[in-house]
Amino acid sequence: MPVVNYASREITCKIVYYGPGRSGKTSNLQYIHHRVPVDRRGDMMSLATHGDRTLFFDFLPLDLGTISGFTTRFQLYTVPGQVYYRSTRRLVLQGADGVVFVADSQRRQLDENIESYRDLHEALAEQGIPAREMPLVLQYNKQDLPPELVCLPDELERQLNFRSVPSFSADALGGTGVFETLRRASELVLRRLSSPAVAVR
Amino acid sequence: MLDGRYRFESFVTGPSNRLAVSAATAVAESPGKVYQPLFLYGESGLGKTHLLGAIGFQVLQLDRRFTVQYRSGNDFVEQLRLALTRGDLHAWRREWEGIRVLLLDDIQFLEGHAEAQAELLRLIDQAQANAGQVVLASDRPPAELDGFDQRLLSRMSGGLIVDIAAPEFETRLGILWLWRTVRVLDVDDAALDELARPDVESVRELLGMLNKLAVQRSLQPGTPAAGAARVVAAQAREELANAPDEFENFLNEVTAVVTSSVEQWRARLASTVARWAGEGYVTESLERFLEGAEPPDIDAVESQFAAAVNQLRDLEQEAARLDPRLAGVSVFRDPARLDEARSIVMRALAAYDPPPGPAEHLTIDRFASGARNQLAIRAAGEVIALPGSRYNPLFIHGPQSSGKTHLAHAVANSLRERDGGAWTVAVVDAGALGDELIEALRTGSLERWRMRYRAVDALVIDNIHRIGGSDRLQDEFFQLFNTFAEAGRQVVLTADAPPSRLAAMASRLQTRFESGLVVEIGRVSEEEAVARHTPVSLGDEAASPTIDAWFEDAVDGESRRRPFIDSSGIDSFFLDPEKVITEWPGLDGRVVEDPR
Repeated sequence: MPVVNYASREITCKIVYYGPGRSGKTSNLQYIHHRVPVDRRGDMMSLATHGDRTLFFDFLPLDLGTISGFTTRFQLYTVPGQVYYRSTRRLVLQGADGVVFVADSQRRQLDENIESYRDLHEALAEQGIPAREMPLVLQYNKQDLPPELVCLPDELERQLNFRSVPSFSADALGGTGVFETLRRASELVLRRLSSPAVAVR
Repeated sequence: MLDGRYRFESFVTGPSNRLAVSAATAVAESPGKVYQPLFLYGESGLGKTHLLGAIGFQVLQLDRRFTVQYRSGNDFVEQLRLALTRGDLHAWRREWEGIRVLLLDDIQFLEGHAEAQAELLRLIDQAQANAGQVVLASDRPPAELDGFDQRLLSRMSGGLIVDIAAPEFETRLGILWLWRTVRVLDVDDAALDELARPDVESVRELLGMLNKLAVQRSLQPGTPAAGAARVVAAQAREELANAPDEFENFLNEVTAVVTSSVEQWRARLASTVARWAGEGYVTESLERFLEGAEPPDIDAVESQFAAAVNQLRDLEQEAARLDPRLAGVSVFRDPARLDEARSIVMRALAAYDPPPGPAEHLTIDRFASGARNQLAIRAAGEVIALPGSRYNPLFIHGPQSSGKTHLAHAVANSLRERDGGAWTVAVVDAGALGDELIEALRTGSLERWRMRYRAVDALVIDNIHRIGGSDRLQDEFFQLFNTFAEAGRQVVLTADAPPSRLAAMASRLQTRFESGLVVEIGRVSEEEAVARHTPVSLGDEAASPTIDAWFEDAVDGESRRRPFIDSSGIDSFFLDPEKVITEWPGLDGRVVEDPR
């Protein structure tokens, strides 16, 4: 739920990039990081060390300035995609206002995509969040790879997008589709500001 | 894991990468002997990974006994983490220590991973000791790597650091020719020439354009390649032109969504808050409305706030004029503290530009008591003892020259001595008050005029009947009077008639005058008038306490002697055109007033 703090006139949105390992989540954030003016972004950071375990995720704060009188901030996170980071993913997903699911378009990664997408829904269910209420955007990354290596967007739509959420083809390394994905996710999140259920501090 | 596709032969060399290729070739031909370590950096998609792979391939081509390992920074960190989790650090180290040529890509991902950095530092040191070779690649030079151990940064900078820049036209063309061959594409040179023209910054983008052209050609086989290439190139140029605006576009869209999603009244109020906060004003009073569920009357809220800000600005200006140290005091930035700001300015006015006070010589000691003014004197004493609480206002009326002005000044002088002389008391004739008001209106300093009088602890207005007929002056006095009454501050008024008989006086003032104590200074008797040899006719406005005092003094002797007024200190009071000042002979220079 996007947080609107009327007292301090702040809107804060947390968007989590979810997906299987090496699907390009960090590349999305890196591309955004490079494209955002220095004065609008904080340092992109990976948070680590929690006791003897490693919490491994990326965090990119964006300050979009004052919009309609509200200081608007976005917090972009990635989750670690590897299977064994299940608990970390749940931790990062807590309090998310929207999710970008980054699928690896490589054909050989299809099962990992499906597994990770299922994992996302399980994680939401565990946190008591109805999946249909969570703003979600799919990104089919690595579409720049040779056609023989990747599933085309239509096929990925059939395999993953049973909820018919907005989806985008992307090449996160080159930047294609990165901002389109973020824009759509942001729009879905911010549209909820007018929802009566919006969190107000 | 080495990718066999990455070889020097398939790497197109140009001015942008020639040094990097040269260094990589040297390292591949003589691992551990030339540059230790070799550090390659450049933006994503410029060929760093390719060169690492080419080094590994070439080393193995030259001597297959070499152990070569290619890893990304992410893999390095993860594998170390797993080893630590399993308690297999020694096994992990044995595995990595056996590597003769270590090719580590994207080492920026080691940022903040102290253990991984320590292990890499150990591996570099070991490679140096054992003629091994380490080649590192990153998206930025060592100096720009944050969260890295200084010793590791120092080691990484100790060999050769080479950057790979974006390919220029010839290199881009060479890459496209090479890939046409590799992918066996039916694209002529003219088409590749078109594709190479946009200044793309990444080889991946370039290959993406080639892929796009190939797909279009496969869908429309008859299309001339050069024409299709021009279209693809134009799209690329457009994307390049738009690329710097990606964030702006994103921002514009977010702005539109926020604007349409936030309730309009909140957006407007928040913008108002942002504006005033930006000017340094405290906006808590506005922010409270933002937290409410229902929209307030925005126009009224905003105009009230703006009016308060304007008043604060005027007050600050006035305060700074009186005392420059008061400029910029925080109270002048908080509309919620407007009263406090007024109070500061009023104090400053009282200190630096006080309203007229009482004539110093018109003290209660010098006021001659007589049979006709006992009640007034007693009331004055009560007011002096308990200002603001006993008789407020004290309204003294009597005929001209009856001593009411002296008594009023005397009360003011006594009050001024309270709290060790800290009290400020304004004493002004109502006629002068009217003149001041006209001047304040003319010069736009009305608020200052008001505050000047509101600042004092007690207010004495002589001849209040003179505000009769002036609605504006009565309005102002009404406000002034209420301020004093509400604050429990003493007001003393004199007039030539009781409140109910004041001509052209608003009833709201008359009733207020009567709300305290109305006392009359009585007339002198005929006998007293005769005894004083003054031309006073019975029933006329001729009674003079000062004359009475002189008379009684003369009759009763020295014990009752009261000095009148020292002629050396003639006050404006005596210059009143309504009065006649007379130097009486034989009175040791004393001046007395005598009715005209």
